[in-house]
Amino acid sequence: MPATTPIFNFPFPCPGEAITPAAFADLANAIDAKLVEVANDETLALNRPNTRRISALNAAVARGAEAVTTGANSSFTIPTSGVYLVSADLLLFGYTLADPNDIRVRVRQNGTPRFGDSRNLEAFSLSPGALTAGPLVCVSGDTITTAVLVEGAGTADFRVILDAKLQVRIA
Amino acid sequence: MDCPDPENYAAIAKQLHATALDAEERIYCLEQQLRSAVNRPTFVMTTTGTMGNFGAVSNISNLLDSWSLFGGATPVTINFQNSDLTLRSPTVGFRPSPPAGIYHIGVYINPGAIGAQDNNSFRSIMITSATLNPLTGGLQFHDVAMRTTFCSTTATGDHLTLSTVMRFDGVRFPMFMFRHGNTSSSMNIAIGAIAWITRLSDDQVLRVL
Repeated sequence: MPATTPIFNFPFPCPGEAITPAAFADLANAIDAKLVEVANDETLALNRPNTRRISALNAAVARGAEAVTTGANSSFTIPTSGVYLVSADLLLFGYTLADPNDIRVRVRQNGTPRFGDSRNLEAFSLSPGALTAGPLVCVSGDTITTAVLVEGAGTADFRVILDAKLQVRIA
Repeated sequence: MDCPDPENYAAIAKQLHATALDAEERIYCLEQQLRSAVNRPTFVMTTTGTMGNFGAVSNISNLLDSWSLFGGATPVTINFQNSDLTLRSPTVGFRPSPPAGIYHIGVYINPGAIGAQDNNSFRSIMITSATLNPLTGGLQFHDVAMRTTFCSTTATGDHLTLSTVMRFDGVRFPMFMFRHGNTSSSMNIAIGAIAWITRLSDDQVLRVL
């Protein structure tokens, strides 16, 4: 009956056992399989899952009601469980100067708001935006989306740039 | 591998045993190095209760006129922790100091006026690395990052996120400080405030893998 090493269970024959080619093959295959795992760890260390999504233009968003970003590239599905650093950059378009007086962008995990950023735009003169970033502890399959709130008069169009990068893998 | 003799066939088994142990030792070290590179020490916590009743203030010139957030009495959920690295004080008055290294540290808060809101008044969040002055016992700030927003006339709420890269040395400890200019009433921080820290690298990188 072969014995095994204490950590990775590499098999080896005990003294007194009949040595066959299978003893060599079993050990070689076990080491090979473990090296494949390590190679996968190396790949993950060098190529962490990450994404940048620039959403489609969300047009004519009414004031006073939070709107979930929709259209192409408006969400991200988590591929590997872990802690992700997620950022959302809100860009506002198609507004009349001085109409919007406050904007907010929030990051959602499976529909639940987690963190966000708001900006007072009263008396502004530059292109308005809001930027937020924070960690999300995710499991594979979680959906990350964003939601935008604009206050004031009129309507506005917006895009959200959503970035997400794996920081720590959860086995 | 030595050629076996009839008197020493057991040597083959012993040599395979030695080979297996040698391979395990080498692969284990490599695996631990790679997993350390992928799974950096990280800590994430979220409050499950409001923070503070931060009284109305008007003096914005002094950094020390700030309130320290995430104190020991604040109820929190630790969302993730894969090492001893922590932002949580286990006892009142004890502030954990991250081991020497470069860290990414961040915070999210949603402050709100408990009573009347002063439109266009400021709310400010600050991340600092601090030490205790051995002579006075007071705080001494070193690295500082700050974010300020101004509430508007509409009640969208104020949401601030701030993150930065800071160096800690096993002595300096991180603090999250809040200030506001809402003179008409006190403020608190809503449930769901987040603080996090993750280690980016050693203080001195001796070799790049």
